[in-house]
Amino acid sequence: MELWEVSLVLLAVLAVLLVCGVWIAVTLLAVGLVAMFAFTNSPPGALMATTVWGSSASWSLTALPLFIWMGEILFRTRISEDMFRGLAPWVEPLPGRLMHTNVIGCGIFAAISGSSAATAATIGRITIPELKGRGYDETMAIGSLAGAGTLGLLIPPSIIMIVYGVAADVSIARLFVAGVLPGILLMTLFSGYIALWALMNPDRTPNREKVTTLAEKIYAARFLIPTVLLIGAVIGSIYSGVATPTEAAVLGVVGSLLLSVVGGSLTWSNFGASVMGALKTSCMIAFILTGAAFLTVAMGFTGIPRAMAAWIAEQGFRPWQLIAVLTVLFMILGCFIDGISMVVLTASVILPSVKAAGIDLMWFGIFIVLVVEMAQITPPVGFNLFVLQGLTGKDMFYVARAALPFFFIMTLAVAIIWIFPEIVYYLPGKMFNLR
Amino acid sequence: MRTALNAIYKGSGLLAGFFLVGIAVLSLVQIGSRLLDFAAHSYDEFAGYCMAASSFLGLAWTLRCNEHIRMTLAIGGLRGWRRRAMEIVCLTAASVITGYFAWASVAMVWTSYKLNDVSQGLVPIKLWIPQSGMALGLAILLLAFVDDLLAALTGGTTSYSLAETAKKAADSPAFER
Repeated sequence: MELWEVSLVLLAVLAVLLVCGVWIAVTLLAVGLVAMFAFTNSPPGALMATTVWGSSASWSLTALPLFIWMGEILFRTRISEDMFRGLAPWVEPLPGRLMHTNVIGCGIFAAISGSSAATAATIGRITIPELKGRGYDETMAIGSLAGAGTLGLLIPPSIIMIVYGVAADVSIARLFVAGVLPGILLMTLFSGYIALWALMNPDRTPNREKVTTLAEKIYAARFLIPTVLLIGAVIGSIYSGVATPTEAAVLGVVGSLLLSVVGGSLTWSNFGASVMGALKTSCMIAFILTGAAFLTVAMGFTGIPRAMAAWIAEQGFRPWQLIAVLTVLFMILGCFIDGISMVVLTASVILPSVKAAGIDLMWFGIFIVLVVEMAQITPPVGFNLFVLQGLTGKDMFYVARAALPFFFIMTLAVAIIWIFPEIVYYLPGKMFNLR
Repeated sequence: MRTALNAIYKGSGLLAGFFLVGIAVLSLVQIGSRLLDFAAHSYDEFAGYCMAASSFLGLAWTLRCNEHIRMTLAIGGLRGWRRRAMEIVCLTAASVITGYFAWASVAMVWTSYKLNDVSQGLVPIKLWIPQSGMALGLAILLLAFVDDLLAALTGGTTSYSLAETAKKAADSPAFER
């Protein structure tokens, strides 16, 4: 059988199982098994068990449940209310006024949470009713929240970066640091768009409620202090090379537990709920990683990724052509499958080609996170849409339409980091050497 | 029977939660060892074992809370017997794959035990001990899949559909994805 026929068969198995609704992790394992049984002579059983054991009992993976746990703890505190009160006086003078609390609030929360749905849910819980009550334009409020919520993936810590780092064997600490500037870039673009929109539609933004003095602004900012300290501890310790991502995550867990003790929201039942909540998400992701680890090895046996890489190198594609094609491919895929599955599938099949085209894997990590962010707000499958649907009671396509301008802004951001890759490389280059 | 099965799922879930907290404690000990200058041998290896134990022992509980993701685009639109038939297809596929995986893991644990494999760190650990967490977790997941398959075959409701309905009723947002 020709290699392309094998590829088609495997792709068909993958598509059929996914569409039928078989769990994604099980689907990945099944495709790997079909590849091994049908197209190689190696017995898959022992290989499956040892590969999976090797990838699961992994120290670098331990950052994953800890960052998820940290998010679960903070979700149960009053952090979003505090953030809104602290930010509001600062953004009121800007065109677009309190709408910016969505962007900046999500940006700040993204720096202590690793997930975009959690970011959108936590910030939106407070900003959506507040903005609505003050008469802000609803479509814009929902759209900016949907867009800015995806920052949870790009600004470290980030669950999806851990998944990519583990699957592609790229330093998680460096990926985290590399995400900071692109995250700030995206926040600037989002806020810039909101300001521009407000200037063009002056009648759709409410007037300023009250003019605050600088002293009042600074006094209001006291609500932000604990959060900023937590961000400093987590990102600062990684950037300075003092802590590995796992150690930074455990600092984050302890810090958020302290915050909830001080805020009075920590009870035994809350603590237990946060552990079990984190466990379920962590197990869900670990199971997919299990499938991906086996699929990667099985694909290696079939020789498909190697042949694909050789073909791409032979065609002499320019790297930007490859990136453009992949962007479109991921946009389409992103409408149907979730980000984690997209990342692990990429890692098991496409990475050799990316390497062959001479694209740096750290830069590619940031690129794929950006594209996964876009996938979060494309219907019919987009987790941020699900969250906002629950939060606002609007239907998914309304939310997706509201978020469309922000989707285009993210596309623009992909182009910008392609033209100016220093945005990605600058901070990791300045990083202190890890122990 | 029902009570016993539920206790197994819940019990292994709680054990998995215990190992998750274990990762945090081990990492704290590591930070402490560096600050206070005492030796914490092989903590990274132990944390890795906790990670594996936590990931696999929690699988069945995660399934029963409907947290394992799947594409629901097609299956979500089906009603009545079509939906049930589709669920039976999915659950059969999942049971077969998980069954094979669980069997392969048990075989691996058995081999490690026979060959008396030990870990390479400063503190030697017999490898079959941490590995059996993986085998046990997968066996319990297999049990959970077969359990739901039987429910679907006999016309009952699967545990994850029940969990989904309960979640919708409680209106808690999907978290951390």
